[in-house]
Amino acid sequence: MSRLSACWGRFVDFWDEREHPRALALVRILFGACLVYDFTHILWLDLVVPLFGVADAGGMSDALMREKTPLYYQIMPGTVASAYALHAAMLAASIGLMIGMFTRTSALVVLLAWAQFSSVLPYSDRGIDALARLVLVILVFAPSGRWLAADAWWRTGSVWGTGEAELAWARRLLIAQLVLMYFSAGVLKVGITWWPMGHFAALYFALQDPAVAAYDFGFIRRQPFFLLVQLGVVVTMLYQWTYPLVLLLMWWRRNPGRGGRVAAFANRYRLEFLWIGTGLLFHLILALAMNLGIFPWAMLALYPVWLHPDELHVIGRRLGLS
Amino acid sequence: MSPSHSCASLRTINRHLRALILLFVLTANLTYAVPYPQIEAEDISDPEWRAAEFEMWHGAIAGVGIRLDPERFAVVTKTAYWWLGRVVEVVRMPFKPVFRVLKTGQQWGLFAVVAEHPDGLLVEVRRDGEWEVLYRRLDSDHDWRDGMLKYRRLRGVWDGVKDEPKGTYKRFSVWLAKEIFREQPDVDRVRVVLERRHNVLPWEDLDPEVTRRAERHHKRSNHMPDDAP
Repeated sequence: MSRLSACWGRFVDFWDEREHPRALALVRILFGACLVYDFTHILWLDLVVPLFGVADAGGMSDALMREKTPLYYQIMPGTVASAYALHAAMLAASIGLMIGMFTRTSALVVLLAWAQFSSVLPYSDRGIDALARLVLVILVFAPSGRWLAADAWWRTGSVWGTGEAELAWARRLLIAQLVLMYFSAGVLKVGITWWPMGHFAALYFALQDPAVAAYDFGFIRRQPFFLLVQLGVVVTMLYQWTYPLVLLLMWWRRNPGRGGRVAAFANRYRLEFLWIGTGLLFHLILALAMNLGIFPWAMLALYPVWLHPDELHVIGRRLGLS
Repeated sequence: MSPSHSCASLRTINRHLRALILLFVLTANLTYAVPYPQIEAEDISDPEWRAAEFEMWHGAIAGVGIRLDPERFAVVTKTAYWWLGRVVEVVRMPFKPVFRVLKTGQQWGLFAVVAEHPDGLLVEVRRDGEWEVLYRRLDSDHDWRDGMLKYRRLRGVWDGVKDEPKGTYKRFSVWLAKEIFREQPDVDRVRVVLERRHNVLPWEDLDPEVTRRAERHHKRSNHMPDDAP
């Protein structure tokens, strides 16, 4: 019993720790910028009515024909103006989130409006949209507007806030989310082409799918390109299946002296950055080679969570930003 | 009780409450991360259900020297799938309303199964009685509104993994036809087609066959009655 109680005590202490909010604020700004870009892109492509509107208003949604109408269209009429209103709410609140104005309220508005948009036209909703909503849930409760934000300016007279330490749970939950996502992405790769029996040809086939490939990749039939693409599949599977090791490596770094020589070696060379760096490279390659919209950029926007705010401060100073 | 003492007690309660909420959040998300295949009870006795997949895994197991009866292997695995699904559903139940309202989950099958027979979008128009290609993905000579048609949300509306086009495909093709009729007054017909190619491995012979499927034909007079002569 006392062991369980001690364990719970450590758990409570862990989630009660505090740190400077700059890492979380950077996520808010970068992630918010991705959302602003995405929603502005819809406007730029003149797709607001087709995507947000119901069929009668010129949209592609069958929201008013379904047995259960999405809440938004239960309240609002199925008109062009309603389509624009839903889009405007998402865009305005995303701008608010990015600049840290009414930060938590903005995050909540984007979250709820986005969930409704997903109900209106479910097929337009991709994996990154579902992940973005999970991130927004965290930002609704997190103190991300306490640094480099309009809210910080209103509260303290400076956009940099007071510099007081805030609860660190939000950054830690985002780390857990990233680990879970990468691991799940590995485990769910059940297609035979991700495995030796399928010749590790998944990326080869993905790059030849005209719907997602950014260019004509017909040349990858030749060597050494095919071999490189196969290598890409092996690395992807390895790093995604073993991603939870990042948590162990971070725990070792938090508890120096534990884990013996392996942990000492891992701490010395910051081995967790093997996984984090591979992920970074993976997203950059995806951004160049595939047509996946904000997916790689929104993922990279979460990467500041991998650095402790004090490390970010040091980097900022070295870059002459501090 | 002194004010400072009651303040400390409140702080302690607050700390424990926060940890409890976060434990709840972590548990909820972990339950949604557990993968399980969608299987109905009748699928267990259906020899066609994911037959190729079971055959492949059975072959892989046999390859490492484990001999199993293929039919029994499939039935036992499917039964295990079914039970796993029921257990996961029960465990997820308390958290379901939140995930349903927020339209999210924790299953991240990024390119879990890659298409070997991908579809490419093709748009053809008729001008002065002659058909011509207006849009074909990755064809720089026919790239009408490529930026819009390759946008991820719009791609989601028509691009699927099943043989049947998605439910929104028809509305997508109607909308697309109207856009073309509005922009190009000399077009009187629009055809929206999915071109299916078979991609093969480098050591296999190229398959030149392109299958046209899910063709949708649109007449200007049906969609733009005001334009009729």
